[in-house]
Amino acid sequence: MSKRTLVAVFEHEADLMRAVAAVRAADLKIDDVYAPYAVHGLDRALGWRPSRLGWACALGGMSGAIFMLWLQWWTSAVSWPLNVGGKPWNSLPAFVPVAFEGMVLAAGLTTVFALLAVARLRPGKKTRPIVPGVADDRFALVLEEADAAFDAAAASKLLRNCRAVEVSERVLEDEFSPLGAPAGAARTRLRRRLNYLLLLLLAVVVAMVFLTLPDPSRPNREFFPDMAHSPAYSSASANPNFPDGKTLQSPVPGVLTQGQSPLHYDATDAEALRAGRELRNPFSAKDAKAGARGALVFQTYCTPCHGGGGLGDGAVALRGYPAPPSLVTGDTTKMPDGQLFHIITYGRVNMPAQSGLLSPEDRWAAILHIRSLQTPTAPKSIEAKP
Amino acid sequence: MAEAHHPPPLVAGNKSSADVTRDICAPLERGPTGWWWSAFLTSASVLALGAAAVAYQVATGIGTWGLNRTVGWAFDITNFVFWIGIGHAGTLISAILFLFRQQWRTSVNRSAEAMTIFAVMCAGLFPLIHMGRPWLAYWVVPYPNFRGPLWVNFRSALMWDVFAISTYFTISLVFWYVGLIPDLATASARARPGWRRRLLEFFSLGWNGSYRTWHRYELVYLLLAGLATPLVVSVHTVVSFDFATAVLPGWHTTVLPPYFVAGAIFSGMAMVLTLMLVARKVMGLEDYITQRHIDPMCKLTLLTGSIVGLAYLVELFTALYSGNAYEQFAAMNRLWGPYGWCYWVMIGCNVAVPQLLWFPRIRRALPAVFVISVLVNVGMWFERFVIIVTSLHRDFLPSSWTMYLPTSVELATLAGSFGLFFTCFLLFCRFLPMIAMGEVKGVLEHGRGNVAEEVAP
Repeated sequence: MSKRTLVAVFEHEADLMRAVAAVRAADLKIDDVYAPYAVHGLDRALGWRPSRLGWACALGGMSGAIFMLWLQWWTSAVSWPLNVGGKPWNSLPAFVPVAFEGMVLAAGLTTVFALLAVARLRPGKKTRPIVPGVADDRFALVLEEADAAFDAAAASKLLRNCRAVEVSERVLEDEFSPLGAPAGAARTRLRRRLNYLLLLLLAVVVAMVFLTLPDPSRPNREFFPDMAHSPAYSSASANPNFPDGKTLQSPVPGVLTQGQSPLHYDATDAEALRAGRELRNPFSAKDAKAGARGALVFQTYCTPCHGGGGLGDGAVALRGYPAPPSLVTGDTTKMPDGQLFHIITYGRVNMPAQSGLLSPEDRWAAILHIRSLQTPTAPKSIEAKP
Repeated sequence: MAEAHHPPPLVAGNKSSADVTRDICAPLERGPTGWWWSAFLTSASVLALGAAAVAYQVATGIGTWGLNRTVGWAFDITNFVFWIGIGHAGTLISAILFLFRQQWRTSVNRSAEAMTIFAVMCAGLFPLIHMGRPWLAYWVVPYPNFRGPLWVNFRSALMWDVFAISTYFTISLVFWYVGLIPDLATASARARPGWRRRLLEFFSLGWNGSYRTWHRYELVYLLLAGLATPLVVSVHTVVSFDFATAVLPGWHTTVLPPYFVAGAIFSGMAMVLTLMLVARKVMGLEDYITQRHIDPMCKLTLLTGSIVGLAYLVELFTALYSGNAYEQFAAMNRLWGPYGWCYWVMIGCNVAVPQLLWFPRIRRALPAVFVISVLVNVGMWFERFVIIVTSLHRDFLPSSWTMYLPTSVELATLAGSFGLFFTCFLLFCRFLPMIAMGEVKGVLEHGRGNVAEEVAP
């Protein structure tokens, strides 16, 4: 679509303003004005209504604020409620700054994109000045020759009186219409090119589907493993950083593990006597729980040699291994708990040390059970115990 | 007396619109000058040094910094706050002064906005590097993910910072670009055919000077200014929350937000002055950036500097009046502790030196203004250092008291940020119209006052 127009060129802003007033007084239709800068007060002189882009700004701002408020509430209170310093899930005052920033961002971007849309501005659009110099220091007033009644000669005279330096009749393409769309032919060309491009893109995508068939036998490529694989050595793997080449190092000799208390005795009989004088059983004979534990420990670790009743008739002894002395008669009954603990810990004669197998608590519990075996009223085997 | 009521024109030399176009487009059209090349090569080498330092510290880890268990924030955050503050004057000039209809802003707003954008870029670098693994920086964005989904903590002031800074950068960039569109059209109409013309044309979006577009554009510009004004206040308020929401003597005060905003505008104004005084000489824009522009900028520097001085006093008074031993210790440590000299450098540069700007003679002596503006920036850098490091290095537990010293890597990074800033600014001066032609043409006196007599039949 094209239209017939009368284009007048001015050198001064004041001339343009007077021409606009004169033309409006003569009841002629102004199509548009072209200027190198936003001429102050021209919109009032032209009688144009204020732009409605403010609504886009308000709408964008409100949407941005509401969305950010919702997002903060939903993420903090619904999707993954995280207790931060005991604050409530919906910590509304803390959400204000981000909601505000969201409002400003959305409002600004919406306004600018709305401007680009309504003014038909887009990257790469060809600029064709209506007259040379309109981007520099010239002003152009475009009158629309709306109907046959338009008297071009009279209008020219009016404009020249307002010091127009040049007045000419021109047929303008759509591009210069207020709602200027690209001209027909150009638009068709553009569309065709775009279609070719999209077709090519489709072909590439389809080709990629066949060229990059997934191989289910191989794991997918990881771009950001996010610490899924630890760079640390696993405890059983070889380690070049230690002289023995192991990752899991044994403790330094003499180190105490957590919960362990040191025993400062040597593995001799004299030391066993000293232990008998110094050490006390932490469990009392009335401690049913410790007693039950002691029975279990005794059954598991002591019965093979000492026998269920502590008589020294265990399965190992019956097979010919030197039998241990009876626990329920003779010397053992006279030994204090500490001495028994020393013997269990360090071993004696043919009995190996049990410290690697039994925790100190279990050793004391086992002594508790031995004492119960020594008491004549006590049941002779653990089967009789509840 | 008549002269007193009629101030000299904003643009000297009775320029016409065509003169403006020619003068502003000239640096784009003629080849770069020797001055430009030497400045560019210097700043680009400093940038390269900074880039090498950043590459080294990212590859090695932030253990290359002088931070320790007591002082966990120092150079990085100091530089971050410093650069963010620089940016604020650009928005003040382009948005707040636009709302106040200050016509003198037209000659400096474009460069000031460019300064904002480059300064925010420099600022953003530091928290990014501080993350230690900057390639995971996208984790600060709340997007649906396969980690839970695990969301960011919106109750943290640092998270508010992410949103404030990114919004500020985006809106500043958009504001700057919207202002550039008509000028890009003007420049592309003059450019010789070639890639530069094609690029200018591409980014001028088909602007043809239609007043229907200008009409809408004016409103959009006003709306953006109206949005940027509260935004700029919010940004430095949020930055100050990084400190004010922590329960640390020296940080935990309610005066911090206004104090930071005033300080930001103060330092930014000084940076604008520094840049403009050099640019007008080197780019030959003495007629466009005149005493009419420098004078109000000096006065704004004086005003904001005095607000900052007041804030320093309020800080001390609060410490005294609180009756809190820790607050009082923090204040005394700031004044007389091992970093006391930083405090006095800050007082000297930020409070004492700008008072010289009360004198019109000094405001007219441009070398003096230049020196003052540089000193103010030194002082404002020290202000951030004082706030951050002196509050941290002697905390509640005397056994953990320690000192902080920057390493060479940190110094190189700071230098590199200046390199980035000046490299960007020089490229901007060379390839884009550094004065808003479309706005300056609107405030020219040429062909206005005397047209009536000429035209009278």
